[in-house]
Amino acid sequence: MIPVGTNLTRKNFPWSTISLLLANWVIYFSFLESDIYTEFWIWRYFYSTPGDPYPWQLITSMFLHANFWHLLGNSIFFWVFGIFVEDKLGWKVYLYLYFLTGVASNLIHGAMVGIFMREDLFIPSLGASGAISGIMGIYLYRCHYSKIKLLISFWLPIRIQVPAFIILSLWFLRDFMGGIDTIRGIHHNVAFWAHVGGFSAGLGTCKYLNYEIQARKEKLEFVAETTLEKSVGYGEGITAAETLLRTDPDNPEMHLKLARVKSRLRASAEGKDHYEKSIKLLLEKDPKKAMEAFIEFWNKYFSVLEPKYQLRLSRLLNKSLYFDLSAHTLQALIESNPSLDLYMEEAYLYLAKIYATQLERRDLARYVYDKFLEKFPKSKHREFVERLIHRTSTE
Amino acid sequence: MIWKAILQYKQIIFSRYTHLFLGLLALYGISSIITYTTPLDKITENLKRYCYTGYGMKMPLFSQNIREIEYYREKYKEQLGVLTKGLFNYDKKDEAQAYFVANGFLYDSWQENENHSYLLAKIIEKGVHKRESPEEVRFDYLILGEKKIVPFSEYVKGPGTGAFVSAGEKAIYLYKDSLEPLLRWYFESLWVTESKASYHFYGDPLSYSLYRDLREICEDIFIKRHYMNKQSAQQTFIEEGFRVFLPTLLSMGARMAVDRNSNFPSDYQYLRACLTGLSLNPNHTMFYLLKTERLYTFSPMARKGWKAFSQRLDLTSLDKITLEQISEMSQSIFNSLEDSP
Repeated sequence: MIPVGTNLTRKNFPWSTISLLLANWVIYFSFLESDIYTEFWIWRYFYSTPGDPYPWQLITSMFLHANFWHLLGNSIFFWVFGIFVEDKLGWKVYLYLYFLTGVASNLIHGAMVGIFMREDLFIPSLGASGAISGIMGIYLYRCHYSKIKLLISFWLPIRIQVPAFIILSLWFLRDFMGGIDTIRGIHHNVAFWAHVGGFSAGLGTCKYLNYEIQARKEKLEFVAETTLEKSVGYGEGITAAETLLRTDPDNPEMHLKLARVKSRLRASAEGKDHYEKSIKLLLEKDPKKAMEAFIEFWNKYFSVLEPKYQLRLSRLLNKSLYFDLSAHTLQALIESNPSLDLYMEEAYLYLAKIYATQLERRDLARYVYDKFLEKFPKSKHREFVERLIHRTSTE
Repeated sequence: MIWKAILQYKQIIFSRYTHLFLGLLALYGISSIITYTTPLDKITENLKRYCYTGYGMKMPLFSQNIREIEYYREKYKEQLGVLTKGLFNYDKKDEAQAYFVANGFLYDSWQENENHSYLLAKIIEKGVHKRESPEEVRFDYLILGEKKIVPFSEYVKGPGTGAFVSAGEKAIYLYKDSLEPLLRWYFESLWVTESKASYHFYGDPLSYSLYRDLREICEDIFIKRHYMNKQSAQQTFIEEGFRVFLPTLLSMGARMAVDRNSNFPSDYQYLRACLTGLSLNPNHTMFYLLKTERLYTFSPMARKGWKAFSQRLDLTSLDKITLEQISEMSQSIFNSLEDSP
């Protein structure tokens, strides 16, 4: 069975995976037609030979492949799992762990040969499969909740989806049994202990780096993302999102998702609350998105936020040429908020300005200015407003 | 500034990624200890590659790649020169033999049917054997096992097809490897099948032959189950089994020792040795193995002798063949050979 993808989505472009794949293919084609002198040189100094080792062989052997099919098989597995592991870990940690598990796989393979199959100590091994098994181990730890898309065979193009923990555990078991076979003297042309070693190194590394916390979080995010947008059966997603928000209450995306799902059928206090939190948090991180969320919120609840946030939002709406909406939200703010603080002063003045300049409703602007003078008789802007009223009345 | 640098270093040292790197270094150390190979291992491996590339050059299968094989052989020779520097001169057979004997191995090389043949095997036992009939002969023998480099004929025919005996310059070589894998394989299958009665051994001709030769040991181990521990049972089966076949091997060796200085071709010498062994100390297993093995013979005399051997005593009625019949048949073929006394 050939893995062809997963049900996860990436956020970043997999530069490191592509670079490593490219390096492998370039090296393969560079030495494809090499003469016997070069072949001997590579075999002697760059393949990993446990019984007669050079330290650099632990790395160089990872970039050498026996034939086209060997490289193609490794490339498919690397692409399917590598891109998501890179996405989760970031390129620096990803590359570090790729080489770390690759070297560990070669060392474990050597040690197993040294303990159980000493007569094979001088048989060289090559290929990136140890490091790729390491990446698969990391994938199992971090993305155990995902599903792997499998092609039954090249000749039978039927795709099935299997939970990652089942298929990866089966692959690991197959490699382990293959390793036992080699100990029992059954010859295989595969370094099974390198696969087992790499996979175990990947899992062990994740454990040591406490990746289970992130894995749990990513699982909840995944469940929330995949189920909250469904029209039915989104209860699991709500639970996941609420659990996530308990540990990370400042996650605007999750608040927004939860707000949408809780406001889907009818307006609710919970939905409104999540919208408000999401918009407030987004205002700091991504004002444009905050404005979009606010439009959704307004359409559903016809309500405004506290003056401090609402003023920013109304300004954003105005800048984005939503003049009417900006004016309506300020109007709603003025009507709903009886307090007479500086924010409210600003709300009056800004609303009047929109009426006067963008909507060309001088009557309404005059009305707002009058109200302003009435409400804030001691404002420092009073003189300025009076001058404006005087100028408009003489015009 | 310095404080900031110290803090940065501290952060690096206490980082879990650094710990992982240190763990990898520890693994490197452990793996290096486990995979450590002695100069003898390295020399043996290089010698093996050197000898086998030599065999490869003689095989028609690789005739297309003769230039590559030659180049590889040359490189292995270079490496062998580097590895043996200060220990012995590889080109001098005596020096090489002395080095390997000091390490418990026998090294030999000779010309065999226009091919250069090599042998490197562990010396299990050394001894002197004296026999007065049919001819008086006294010879040194070596019981060899764990062949690291097999002779050309065995290399061509594949594993498990080695001779029972051969003649070296100074001693006769008796190969434990020619019987041990067989004993091991049959032990495994009989142990697993838990044979409860003698008829359980009649399943295949070879296990039946083994049972007839090693009746007491088989009954002790497989039927009466005197050994609860598999490992000790296996060891006993192999050691005792080999002891049963040793007299035949020594008789073969005695003939080899007598014929050593004759001008007979090596495969003809081997035929004479086998016939002598089976006539003086007959056994069912070696008889069956020699009857069923595809022997590659070059000399017409040997071919004629083996043909006679294969035609006499029908294997389809194996249970009716007795040791006396094997002995008589072997003796009569031996007597019919042109050079027989």
